[in-house]
Amino acid sequence: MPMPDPPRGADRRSALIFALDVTGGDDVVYRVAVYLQDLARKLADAPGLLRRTRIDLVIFDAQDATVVALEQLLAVAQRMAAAPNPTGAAFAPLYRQIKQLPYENGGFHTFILLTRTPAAGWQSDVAPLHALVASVTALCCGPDPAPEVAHALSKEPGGTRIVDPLATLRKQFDSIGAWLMGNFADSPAPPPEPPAQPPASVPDGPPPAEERPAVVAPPTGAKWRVIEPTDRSDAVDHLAAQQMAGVAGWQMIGASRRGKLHAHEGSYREDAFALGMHHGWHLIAVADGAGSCRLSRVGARVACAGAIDGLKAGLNRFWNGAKDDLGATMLRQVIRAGIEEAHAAVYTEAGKRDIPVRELSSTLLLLALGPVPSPQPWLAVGQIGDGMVLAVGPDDDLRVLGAAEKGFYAGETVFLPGLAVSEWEAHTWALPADPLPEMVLVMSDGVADDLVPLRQQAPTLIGGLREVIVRPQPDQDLLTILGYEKRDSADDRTLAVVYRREK
Amino acid sequence: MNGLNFGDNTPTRRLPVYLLLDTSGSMAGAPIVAVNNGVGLLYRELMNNPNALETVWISVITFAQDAKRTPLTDLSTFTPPVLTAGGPTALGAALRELGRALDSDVIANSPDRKGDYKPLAFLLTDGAPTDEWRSAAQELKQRAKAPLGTFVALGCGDEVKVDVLKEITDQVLLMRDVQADSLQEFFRWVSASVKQASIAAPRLGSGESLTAMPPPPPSIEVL
Repeated sequence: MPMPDPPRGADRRSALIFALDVTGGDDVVYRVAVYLQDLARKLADAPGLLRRTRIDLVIFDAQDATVVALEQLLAVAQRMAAAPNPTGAAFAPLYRQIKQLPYENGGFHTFILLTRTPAAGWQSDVAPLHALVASVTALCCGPDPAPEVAHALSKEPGGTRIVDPLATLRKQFDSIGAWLMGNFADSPAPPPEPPAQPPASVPDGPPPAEERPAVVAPPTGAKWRVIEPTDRSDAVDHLAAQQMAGVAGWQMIGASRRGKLHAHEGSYREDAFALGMHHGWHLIAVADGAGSCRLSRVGARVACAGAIDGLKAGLNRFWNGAKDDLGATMLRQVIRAGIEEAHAAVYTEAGKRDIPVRELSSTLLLLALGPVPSPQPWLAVGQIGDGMVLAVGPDDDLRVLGAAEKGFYAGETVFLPGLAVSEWEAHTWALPADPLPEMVLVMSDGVADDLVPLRQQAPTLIGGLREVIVRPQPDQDLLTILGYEKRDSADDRTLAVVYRREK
Repeated sequence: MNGLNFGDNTPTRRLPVYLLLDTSGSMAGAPIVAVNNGVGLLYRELMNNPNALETVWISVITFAQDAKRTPLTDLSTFTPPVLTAGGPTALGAALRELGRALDSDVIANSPDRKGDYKPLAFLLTDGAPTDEWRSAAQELKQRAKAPLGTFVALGCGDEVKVDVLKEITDQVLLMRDVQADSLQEFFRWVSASVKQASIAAPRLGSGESLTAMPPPPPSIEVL
């Protein structure tokens, strides 16, 4: 049986409309959508077919009919199929939607894929639809849609197809595809006859059950959860804040928050920090436990405490108030002493627990600012792994002290126990604090990562800090401003700051 | 006081995931449907994980007569493709396509731009390559720029050339008896591995690879 109005000329462009009823439940709808997507792709790839006809995919239910792009078909079908559909579909919305499509002479050839018996009163919408389109092929997909609907809807030559069981759908679509390609694609062969109808069953039987696509529940995108850890050993508070008075108008605050990822997994914060004062020196340590190591939260805490002790001991041992290069050399030894003591503390802890030291892996950031008051204060920094030490100068001048030693990829970093002793010195820096900074920030990667690109992002943080430091409880307020929401920012956040109250 | 407001105008870090799927003629029928279902399962599982949802980007490279690649797409806009099977097994073309993808997709870390996490690739094949593959495999292994973080190859059935897979990567899995359920299990394992990577990737020691992948299901041997 030939197609009516075979659109052979370029001036007679038809429209192929595939209308998918999404009221039949997500199981059936998804399967039909998968096959429909496959068919539409094949047709679109057939030589010359798109020259002779447009392909429109329409999704419809009782209220709406929507044209969807091929790439969106599955997602939209899933979403609409998952919404509650108290009744079957209606043809009026479909009719109105088709009417809005540009008519291009060749006529609308419509394939209606029913997944459920339509809502009551559907009969009255059939005549307007038939008046509008050149042909209707109705397919009852699955057991639910009543065959008489398909019979009533069908307008020659496509006719009725009852696709039950649903597993025969691919064969139905294959035959429809072959038929359409014969009529619309470039082909030296004469167009094949439309397949016999109604092919209620196929001669070689349905494909085996496992060939059916699985039913896919529409993913909506997961939400972050907040879960308490069940294991109370080595518990770490989810929030921590501390302030420490400095000297000569300087002050220190620090705050640390469990990140979304650890909250979602019900695990502990793995960041830690410690503050210390020693004869006019302001000391800060921040550590970020390695996510892949079971007890890294313990390692981070122990490393910070050890580092502060080590910095104090180092100041006692090495610092004699020298200036210039000699002063810088001495201060790098002080920082090295901080690293050494942190390292020793981590090894001691691993020994006590009889676990491999790797389990206690963390990064380590150290800052010593001092002595104040003095004619020449210094900034000395140690950095093993990622995170950032950032000095904010008098004119908002930003200076990154230390170096994160990042690899080609994000997240590649080094950890304290893994770094060879011979490498420690290369992870220390010292320089005169000239001009004297307004504040110096020591932060774990959870904060530093949100400051990329630095000059664009840092002003938000610095502005927030300037508000925080004039308040009565600046450490608590620091904790609060670190509770910001940001996409792609799920890590623990730790920030310790040394700042001048008076300029 | 409120939390800071950074706005969300900076590009996020991505964890690129490449799926290299054999769509040669021998995959026709139940196997290709199982692979289609598997990719759908992977998509769904990852969509249900908020961290994966924010970091994972997927590209599918299919190979039969030649290799075809879909652009690296973030998970929330990714649509699982419906694959059909037919033709020879152009594994070499797929590996070269993966190399090209790494060259063009992957963003390096820099102070002004958040770089990507180490990419992951999963290869699934049931036959012997019908094109030249060795040079492409070597190029992938030796590449200095944008190297792969993790590359897992799953060989399916009796026809697969395990020695070939072992030349391509050190992480080779074998599914001798290919059943739809086993393939589903494989994709479930892939999704668990990707989820784990999306958590571990931000805190990876330099030079470490993702050794801490979950154990594969019982239907799969580790070679």
